[in-house]
Amino acid sequence: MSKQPDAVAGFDWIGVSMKRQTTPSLVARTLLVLCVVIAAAGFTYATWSDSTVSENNVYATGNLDLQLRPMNSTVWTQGPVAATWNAMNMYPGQDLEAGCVYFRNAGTLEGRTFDIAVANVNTAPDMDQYIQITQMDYENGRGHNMLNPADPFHLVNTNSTPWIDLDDLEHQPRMSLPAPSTAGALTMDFRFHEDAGNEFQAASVTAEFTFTLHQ
Amino acid sequence: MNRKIILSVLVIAVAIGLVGAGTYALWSDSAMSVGNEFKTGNLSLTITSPTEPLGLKIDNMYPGATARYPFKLKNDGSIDGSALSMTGMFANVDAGTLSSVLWVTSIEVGGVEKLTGPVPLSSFNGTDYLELNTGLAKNAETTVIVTIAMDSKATGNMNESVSGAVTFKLDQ
Repeated sequence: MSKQPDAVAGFDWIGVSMKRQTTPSLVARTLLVLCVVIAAAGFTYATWSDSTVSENNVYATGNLDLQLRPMNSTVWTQGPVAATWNAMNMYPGQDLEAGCVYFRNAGTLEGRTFDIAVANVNTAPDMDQYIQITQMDYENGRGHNMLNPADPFHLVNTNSTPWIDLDDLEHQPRMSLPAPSTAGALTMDFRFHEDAGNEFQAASVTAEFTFTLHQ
Repeated sequence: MNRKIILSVLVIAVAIGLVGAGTYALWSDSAMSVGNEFKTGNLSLTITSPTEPLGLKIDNMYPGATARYPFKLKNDGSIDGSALSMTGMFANVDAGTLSSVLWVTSIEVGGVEKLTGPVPLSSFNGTDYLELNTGLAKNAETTVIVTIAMDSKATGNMNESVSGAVTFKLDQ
């Protein structure tokens, strides 16, 4: 039996072959040399680089900026505006003066929907049910008569009175009106209903309107 | 094969859409209109004279006698009243019958006679109001004088009296 050449000391060719080799292959040696050369080069030679900076890349957000303008005013404000709709010394059956508020989006983003929310404070229970809404026009470039059942954005009656009133307005589901294209307006007329009884003498309703523009 | 690819693309697109919908916030901005007050006025009818309680006692009467009862009224409310009316509720004292021979012969409001003829005192029943066909503006005053007469043909009712109350009402 001829004697096999000695393997490289400590070099185990596990899983490659049961056949022992006497010297590392030419490929292995070449790879080893290349690695040494590359490593040496890496530590030896500088790698040049050059860079240039693109400055002032600003990532600015846009905004929605809903502004109001009261009737009989030329000043736009972010609000709140006060006493758009006001009536003193009301009596049953009295038609109240019309009120109007204008709004615009002064922001950089376009609004998509517009909501009107109302919160009432009554000094006599259910008095807001007797503040009848006789006109409610929302103007956004395409007028909406919100008391007209044929209008897709008309108010719904939410209480037992057969008319639409401030209490109904307070309890409307979310309106999601189309946002004003540039500027819009809300005009409302009221009547203190003729069925209001003596319990409403020297009483009041204070209504707070919140207009919200959604992106 | 193509259908599977299209279906897969659709599923991925929907999934991306759902993830997007749940991820991105939608901005909004609000502005308010506050202090929108709807305040009612009121009617407040007060009797400024007599200042004593309005219990009315009719006594010392005799056949053909008359008695005048003046009332000063004021609308202390903040709105005008358009219709003044009155009623009364009277009862005989000590089981007498005097009220059956008493007549309201005159009701003057601001010096203007409002009755077209005498009416029996018993016609004032406390619930039916007699329209006086006049209003009373806010802060205005007027005087109502009620004249009551005993039937001149009454034969009894000595030492009898009638007591009651007069109520005025002002409607808007």
